[in-house]
Amino acid sequence: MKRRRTEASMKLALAVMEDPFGRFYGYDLSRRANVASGVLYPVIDRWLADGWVTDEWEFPTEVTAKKPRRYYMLTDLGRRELGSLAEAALRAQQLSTDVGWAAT
Amino acid sequence: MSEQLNDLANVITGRSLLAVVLAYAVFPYAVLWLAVRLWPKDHPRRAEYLAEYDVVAWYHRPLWVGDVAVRCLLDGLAERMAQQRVRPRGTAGVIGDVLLAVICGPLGAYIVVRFTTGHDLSAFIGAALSGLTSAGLGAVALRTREYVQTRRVSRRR
Repeated sequence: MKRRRTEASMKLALAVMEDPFGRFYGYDLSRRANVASGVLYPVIDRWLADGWVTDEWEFPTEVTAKKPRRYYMLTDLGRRELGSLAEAALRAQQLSTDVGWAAT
Repeated sequence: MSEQLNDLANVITGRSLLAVVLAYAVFPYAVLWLAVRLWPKDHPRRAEYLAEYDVVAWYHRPLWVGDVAVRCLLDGLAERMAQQRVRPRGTAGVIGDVLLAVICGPLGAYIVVRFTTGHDLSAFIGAALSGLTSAGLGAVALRTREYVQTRRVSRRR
């Protein structure tokens, strides 16, 4: 499915493709991608709806006594789609560096 | 050095310390706790935000909570309203409609009769019956509209 490529989705794609088989939770991902929480969750919702990521809840343990977190994992489709999105993001970064548009 | 420490001690009064504790520890959690309630009761985002609050660095919490609260206000409220629009009302809703018709019809009729004809019993009964009928018809119209909306949404899905 063709999705609009926003700056946030590209940053997030780059962040998740650093560890395509890992699992991540919202705040961790927002820090790694340097994206605000307000932007992150709508993107995650779209990815969930498209079947690019799945979610699971952390198993609550009595030892840590913390609230169970919601983790997201990439699906095969997600790895493919977000992989190509991350590639596009890298190409765009490279291009902006080449022509001197990179943020200083 | 001791002078600087004295200055620092003068700045850090009990009130400013209390303000810091409120701004970084109490208010963020209270605001978040209220904000997540904008999402529908069974929505996973409620528990997700509350669980993530624990891992957010304390100095980043006010900003993060503000960000999340705006998201709750925009998305949570929209989701809640969308759910309420399509949710069939069930038996409690029907009983509520009937009660509303039974109470509002005669009450409206009593007010009309009281201020127009005084204590005319036949006028009151006539007006009560017409009020009851109109309230009943209103309730039926409301239920029909809800039913049509629910069917339309379920067909879209």
